[in-house]
Amino acid sequence: MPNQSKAAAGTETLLEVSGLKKHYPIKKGVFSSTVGTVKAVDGVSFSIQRGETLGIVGESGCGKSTTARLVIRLLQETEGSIRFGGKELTSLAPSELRAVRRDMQMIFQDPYASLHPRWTIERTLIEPMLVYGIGSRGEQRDRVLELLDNVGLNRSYAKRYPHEFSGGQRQRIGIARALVLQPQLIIADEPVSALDISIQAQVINLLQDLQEQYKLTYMFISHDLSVVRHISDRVAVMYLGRIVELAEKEKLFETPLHPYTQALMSAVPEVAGDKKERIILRGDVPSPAKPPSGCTFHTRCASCMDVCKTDIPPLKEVGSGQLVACHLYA
Amino acid sequence: MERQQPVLEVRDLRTTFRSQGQSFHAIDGITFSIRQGETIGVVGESGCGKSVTSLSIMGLIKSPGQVSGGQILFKGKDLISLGKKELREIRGNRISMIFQEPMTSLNPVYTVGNQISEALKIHTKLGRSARKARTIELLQMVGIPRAEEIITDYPHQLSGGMRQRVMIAMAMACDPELLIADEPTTALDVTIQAQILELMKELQLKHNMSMMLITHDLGVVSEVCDHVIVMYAGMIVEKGPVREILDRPQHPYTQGLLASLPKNAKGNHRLNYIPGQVPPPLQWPAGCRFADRCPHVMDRCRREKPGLFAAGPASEAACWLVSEGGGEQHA
Repeated sequence: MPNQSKAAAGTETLLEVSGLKKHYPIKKGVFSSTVGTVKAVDGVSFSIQRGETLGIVGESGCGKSTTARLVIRLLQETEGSIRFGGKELTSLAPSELRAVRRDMQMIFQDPYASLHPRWTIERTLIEPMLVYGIGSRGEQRDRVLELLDNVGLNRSYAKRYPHEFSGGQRQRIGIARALVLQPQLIIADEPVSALDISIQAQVINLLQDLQEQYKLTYMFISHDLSVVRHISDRVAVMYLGRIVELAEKEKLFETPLHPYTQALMSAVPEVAGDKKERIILRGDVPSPAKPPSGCTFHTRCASCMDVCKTDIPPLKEVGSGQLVACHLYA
Repeated sequence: MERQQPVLEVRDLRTTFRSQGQSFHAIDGITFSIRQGETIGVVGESGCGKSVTSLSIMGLIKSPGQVSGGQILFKGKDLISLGKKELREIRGNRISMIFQEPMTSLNPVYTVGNQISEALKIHTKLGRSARKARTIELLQMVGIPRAEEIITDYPHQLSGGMRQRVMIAMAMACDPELLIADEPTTALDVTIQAQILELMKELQLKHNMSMMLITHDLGVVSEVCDHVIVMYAGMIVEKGPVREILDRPQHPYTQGLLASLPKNAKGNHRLNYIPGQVPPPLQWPAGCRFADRCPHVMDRCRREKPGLFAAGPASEAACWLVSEGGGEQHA
């Protein structure tokens, strides 16, 4: 298998998240008394090895973007621990955190919204170096040209503005910006979802080339299962703020164990003509403000048992390294 | 069914817009037809003209844009030559449309029930209580639970999937003969998309309705459509029965699109991709518009625009390579 060499390279844990929670209070009335909580992320644990790509999939509102924002410290967690390169991030002082942030960068879904419209590409790419006081003026400019080469953009683009570029080119600029400070971990939140198919393939190839070249570690968030399957080494499936299944990519896609993972995979329309058995889930994802008791998926699960309505199933190893949170496998 | 007059026949349609003081054809001479009970998919990337096609059919092109050539025949009647009043009798009644983002196409200050019964008020002679009953019936038909209660809800109180169901109920209000759906499931999660596609297939079968489905998702096309039209830079590059096109694409653009899909790549290997990007309308070349990105480009492609040639048993492709295979030019 082509991915084995890559998996073997990752023997050192770069990021370890355990028991991570983010609850938002719902306030009401004149005295803003708390009447409930939205459990956006509710006890998430995973780790990422150096050089590996962990894919996170799930539908809107499952907490995948909140998890990313917690890891990169754009949000303050309610509970839990995030260890990055051996350092506990949740207890770091702001000045220490600044130093760590250099090593973690983010790529966003909409490259147009995340680029300053009145800055040239050069200005945008120099900004992180200014913030961290890296290099002289000349060195900074050289670095910009080097970055443009790296992401496959013409050097003359340095003096242009974001509106002059197409979506795919803008995303390349977003990637160049994430690379400026030579980070170890890149968190990519739906980086190709806004792109057309043919352009999407170009950007995915670029991300994989850069990973190989700079030994990058990716946390790759997407709702698109085929993209995640292509790029990831391991994949975590989230539902209503929790991870329901986490496994090596091939195992997860060949033999999905959790009923939600099975339904999610069968829902993807296939280009190939052969008809497959489709599991159509009934109803919508429940509101995270009023999540169902026990296993949060029990309201839509075809194999629901009594125990599912009362007890939260823990994420446990089943068979060869596949983690699943389901009472069927208890 | 094969012998029937098509429900919709689009002939050599051109729609013109102006940009930077120059006018250009956003769609440039497209021809296709939809038979009764048939679903036709229109695929292509952003800016290829697929949405302009549907807006042209609906007569919704805003000035200074305009339909500048060709015919749109609905059951033999040319929609372009119709007056506003005659068009209104067809639009929303016999042809209706569903848009991508249900939140922006529903009015936020009216209840769901109000908006559906408005369509009934305009197009039918039903009285107030009959309209209410029909509204509830429509909501039940699209699988909305507690329809009696939902009619007093506002759009923001519903989830994305529910809103799209409301849009479909509204579009189905007058039993249309043709339903145009522009990216109806693109904003939805996959499990909800599966529900909505299932619902649309079911409704179509029950009402023997024709459907034109605009999408960028080839998987959706494969599962829902009978025929497919592939568009590139304002033109049709390939069209035919869905299995013929998806299993044995003849146009290099269609081939490139299918090869770019991650599931067609093996393991962690690199994905195929189409180099470059779609040229903007003002820079469309005189010859084949795909020439600059095509791996098989020849001199002739840059000089002359290829027409549609027979490419498979029932499919056609606009490519000189196909014409050399002995095909006969249709256009």
